[in-house]
Amino acid sequence: MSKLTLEELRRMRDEHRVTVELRDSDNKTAQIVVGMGTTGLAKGAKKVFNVLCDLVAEKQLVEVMVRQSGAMGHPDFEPTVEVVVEGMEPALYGHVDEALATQILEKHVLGRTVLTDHLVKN
Amino acid sequence: MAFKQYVLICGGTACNSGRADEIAEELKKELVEAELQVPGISKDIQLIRTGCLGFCEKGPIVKVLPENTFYVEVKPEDAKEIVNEHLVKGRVIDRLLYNHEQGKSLTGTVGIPFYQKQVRVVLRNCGFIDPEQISDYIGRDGYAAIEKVLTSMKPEDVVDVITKSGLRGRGGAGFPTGLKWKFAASQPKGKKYMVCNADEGDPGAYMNRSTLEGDPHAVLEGMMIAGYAIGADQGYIYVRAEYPLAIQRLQVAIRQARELGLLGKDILGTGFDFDIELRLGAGAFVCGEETALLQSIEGERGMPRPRPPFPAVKGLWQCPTVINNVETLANIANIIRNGWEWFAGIGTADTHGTKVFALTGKVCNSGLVEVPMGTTLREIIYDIGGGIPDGHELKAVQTGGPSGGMIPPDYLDTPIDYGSLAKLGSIMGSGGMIVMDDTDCIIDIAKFYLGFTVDESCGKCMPCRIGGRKLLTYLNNISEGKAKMGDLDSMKKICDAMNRASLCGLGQTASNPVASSMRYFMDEYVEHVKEKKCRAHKCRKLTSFSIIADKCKGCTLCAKNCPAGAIIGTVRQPHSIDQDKCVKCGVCFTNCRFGAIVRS
Amino acid sequence: MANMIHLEINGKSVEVPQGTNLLNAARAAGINIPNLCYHPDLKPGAACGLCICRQLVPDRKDPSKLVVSPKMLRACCTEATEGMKIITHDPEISAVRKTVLELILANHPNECLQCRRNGSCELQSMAAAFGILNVPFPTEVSVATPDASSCSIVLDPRKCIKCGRCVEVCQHMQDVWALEFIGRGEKTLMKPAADASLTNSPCVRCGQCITHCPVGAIFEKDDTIRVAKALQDPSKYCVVQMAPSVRVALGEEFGLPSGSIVTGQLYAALRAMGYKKVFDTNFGADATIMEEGFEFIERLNGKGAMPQFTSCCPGWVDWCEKYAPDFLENLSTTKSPMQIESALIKTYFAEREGIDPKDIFVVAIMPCTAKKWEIKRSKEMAASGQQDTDVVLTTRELARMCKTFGIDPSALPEEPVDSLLGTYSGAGTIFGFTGGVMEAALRTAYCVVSGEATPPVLEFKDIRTMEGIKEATITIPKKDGTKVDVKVAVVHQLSNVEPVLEQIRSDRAAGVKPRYDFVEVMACRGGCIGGGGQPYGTTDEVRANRTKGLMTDDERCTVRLSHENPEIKTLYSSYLEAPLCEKSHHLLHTTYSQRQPYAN
Repeated sequence: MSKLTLEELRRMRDEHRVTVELRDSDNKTAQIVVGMGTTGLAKGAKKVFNVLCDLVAEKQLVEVMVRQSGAMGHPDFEPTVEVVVEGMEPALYGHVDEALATQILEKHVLGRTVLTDHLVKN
Repeated sequence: MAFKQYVLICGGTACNSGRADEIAEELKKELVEAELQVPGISKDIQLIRTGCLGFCEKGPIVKVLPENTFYVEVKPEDAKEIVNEHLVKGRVIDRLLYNHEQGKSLTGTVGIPFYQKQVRVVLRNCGFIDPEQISDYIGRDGYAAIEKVLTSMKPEDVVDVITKSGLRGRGGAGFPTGLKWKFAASQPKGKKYMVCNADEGDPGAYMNRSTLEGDPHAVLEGMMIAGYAIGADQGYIYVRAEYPLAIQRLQVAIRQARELGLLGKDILGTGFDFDIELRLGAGAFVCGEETALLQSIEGERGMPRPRPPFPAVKGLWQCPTVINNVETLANIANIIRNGWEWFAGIGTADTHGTKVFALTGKVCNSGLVEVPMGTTLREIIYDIGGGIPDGHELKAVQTGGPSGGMIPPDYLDTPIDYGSLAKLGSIMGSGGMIVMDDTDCIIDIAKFYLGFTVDESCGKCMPCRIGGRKLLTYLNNISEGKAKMGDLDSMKKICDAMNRASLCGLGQTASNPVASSMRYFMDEYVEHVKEKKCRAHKCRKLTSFSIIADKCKGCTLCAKNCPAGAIIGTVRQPHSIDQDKCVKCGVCFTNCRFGAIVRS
Repeated sequence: MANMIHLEINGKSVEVPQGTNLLNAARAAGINIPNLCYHPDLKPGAACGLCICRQLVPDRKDPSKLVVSPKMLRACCTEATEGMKIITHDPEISAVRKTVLELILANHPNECLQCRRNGSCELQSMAAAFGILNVPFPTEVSVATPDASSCSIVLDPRKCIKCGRCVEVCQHMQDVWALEFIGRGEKTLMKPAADASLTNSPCVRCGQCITHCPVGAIFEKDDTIRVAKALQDPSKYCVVQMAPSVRVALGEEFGLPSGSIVTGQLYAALRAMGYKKVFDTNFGADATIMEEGFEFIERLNGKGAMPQFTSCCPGWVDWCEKYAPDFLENLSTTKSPMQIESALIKTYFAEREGIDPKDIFVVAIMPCTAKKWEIKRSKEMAASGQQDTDVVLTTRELARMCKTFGIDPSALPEEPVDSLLGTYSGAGTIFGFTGGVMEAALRTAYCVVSGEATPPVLEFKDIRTMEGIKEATITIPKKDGTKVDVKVAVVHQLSNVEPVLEQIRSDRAAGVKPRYDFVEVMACRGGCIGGGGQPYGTTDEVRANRTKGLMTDDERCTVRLSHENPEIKTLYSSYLEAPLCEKSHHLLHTTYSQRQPYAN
């Protein structure tokens, strides 16, 4: 590594700020929880989790937390994904695949529009 | 580099002795194993050995981020489950959560009373960053303060900001930091030094250690800013040799900073030169005293120098030198970034900012806490500390380590700051806070502290060297029932002489545990002297053990464990203790399951 | 011209030069603030805590009023500043001082009546001044064993009050580094490092530790009993000689002011004690000049290493052998006056009087403790066939012997010295002060080189000052009409030697002619008049008085050149033939060898 100039330090800081902010828990305004029930795992819940994580990191969405949970109690709808955005009602999505996950992130979390068609209905 | 999940393992003192190293190793192993189930998982998880999270009572701590799962009392055997259940399958392991026994299971720290009233400012990075990655520090606004200082502030401006903030030395004396910097800055231009006192010697104190291990760059940055303010181009961190992990973290941090040109010549192209070297202590508490520390760095015997001249005028090698404590320096970058008004807005009028305390002793939640000045003792002991365990009563709080005093429960609502503690006959010190209950003997505690200061006295001046020893002799006599009432007056005289005529702070404050305990607990002293009684049953020579025949089941457990062979009896017959042979160790008392052994 | 500072001591206005400490400022107001560890020769140690005083400062609440600050300053190391207002004693100060003194006494053996310093001990005087009748604290006296390994100096750690003076003297005043603080706190001892005994340490036995020790913890090996026995042994022919420095200091032990010349009374006292012959080392000094002066002329003419260093001081010789073996060839081979005198007593005198030298017991009264070692430092010290000097007594030991026998020199009429080895010139007597040996040698060298009867100036003012290193150039006209500039340096106090040696070493390295031709070295400050065996209480004022005494002695002599001393002429015409002849070489010259600072 060579000695930093002021600009390089600032650039380095901006870059790493994203890294640590992605890790932080206190700065989150939206939570995406991916259920890892046995059925879900078999149907690719992990892939859903992975794609969401990757997108958040790629788009540097530091206020969005993506985490896993155990089974959410809707085995017929797995993989299920719960979305809790500050100022919106929590929503539970069913039969989530990678493509839908991307939509959820863009439309619901970023666009604040619920994808009602894909909600889990009792 | 982003990961999907982050597992932070607390690398603080208590957690290390709780096998945190092994937990980290096991987690690493389990991740490799888990590759078979979930290929690529070990690439998705970052394992971080982080700094002290403070909740030492409940360690080892493992945190999972960003979801903020807070696992307590983790064992290496739990690693498999953490990886396979939580990281792979997302199932939080309930039994490892705080308060799960009470059915409250708190995942994050929000609900944990230990953290409620804390304001972790100095410790903001401890428990979050990897202290061996300078990029983590930089990502958290690291080196932004020095950047601001070098590009937009004159040295006088820096001194001004620190002065206005009201920051006072956190090493114990509480001297206004800005004023100290001003003295050194106003000395004629020439060679000047910036020294960090990392010799943290108070028994049971580990505030500085946690900062050095968990956020070493904060200290480096603070020193750089100080160096700029006073006109120094060379800094030394005097760290005690008994902190090998802190030394290692500092070495890594300094190396990384040098590699990026943040230490060395022409920092960030601004023409500012500053470099830092480590100097190790060699096991002398007195070398935590400013001028003894300087002597030690110079290669001389660690004995204090008479003052004046003060180090800011004539310090290291007779050059103007500022010596600041680790915690003081860890505050500097925050103050520069957030402004002096921010700092002045925390705390009381007498003392601004926060203070890190090592809360230990008879308290439910012992650990490292950071609170705003003005927090009361009651809040710390009961709200944060969870009160006294096992149904015992609070007897006293000892603050300030061997230089401090004992405060009785009457003053629990005292808001903590330098002035209020001094009025009570104690001191803030470096932040040690020991809680004592009714099973602690005041004389025993005073004896412990005097034993320490007598051993650590450098020996140069007579009031401390001889006076301290006499106080210890008196305390020993008191605890053995050999003292006279006149001894208490002699002790008071010696306390006064040590306080007024000792050459350095060690001697001047070594008598505080005695003086303050005599002020508030004289009745306990008198009881020991006149009645030869120790109400806490701590002083062995004043305690005797006996067996209540009615309650004794004759299980022979006590007799089997008695090291002196002093218990006689046959199986299933009531036993008795031969007082002549008894060495008062109390093993029988602790072991008896039938409450048949009593102390008096 | 130093700035003057105006301050108030106990309300009295006092004016002192800038840089004066409060202790000396108070003296100007007639107050001798009690102190135990301070010595005007040394940097303040600030150890004892007795010299505390308080300052009047503006009241925090009403700055127009003055109040006594609770803080206690140490007068020895606090510099007087303009406008300071000091209180040297009040009830609080006195109470603390008394407690500190009692603490010191509590750790001190209570055996004044059987102590070497009975009557001259500073602690004894302090206890008397405070009227201490009993010590209220537990007594804890060390049981360490004395180090009596050295033939000159004994260390008794039981009585050591750890004032630190001896370490400061040995390290910084004398640059010998035989003594150091070993251990910490109450276990601190002043002794050589690495558990070496004193005799196996770098100690050169200069005895400055003895003269600076306030109590009976360091003192000279006693030889008075041996001497008393010899005086009472009819088979022994006791002969005595005494150094120049004794005659201007002995009077101090008998109520006379320092510098009083008591030569004739000294002779009388020694005869009264029973010595069969009373000679004078000053004669030996004259002989030394003969040998060393001619040796110098030889070296000046190219025969021998330059510069020539004097060798009459055994402390310096030992220091050179241990620390500067690269200068052994520069040491004059001429023995010291004492050794020359003793060798001549057991040969020249013995043959003349027909006494078997085996029966002659030579006692030398010296201001020096290193001389007790010199008498057996090498085989040349037995040039007569047996040890030339049998015993060395210090001035203090002689004074004690006088008192034991009830002899008061100050009350005796003067008597003459015994002839043959007693008459001396003024050049011989000035050996006692720094610069005197050089002056004596130059007086003779001038005459020999120039052929003139007497040098134009007898007193070389430039080298008679108290400066640590003095230089002068003396131009001597040669018989062939040319001139020779003799460049000399005079050094006293061993800490001043190294810089001069370094200069000569750099001359050697550069390949140039050494900047000095002749260097005089005296280990003790002021020269032998300030030696380790002189009466207690040596300060610069006393040194000046004793020096003046010898200068007066020189002026009163009718013969002021060594080579004009009639008894010297007789010695060379009838016994030795000429300076540096074979007999001289055998009797009056010696060799040197490297020694290890730490033996085995």
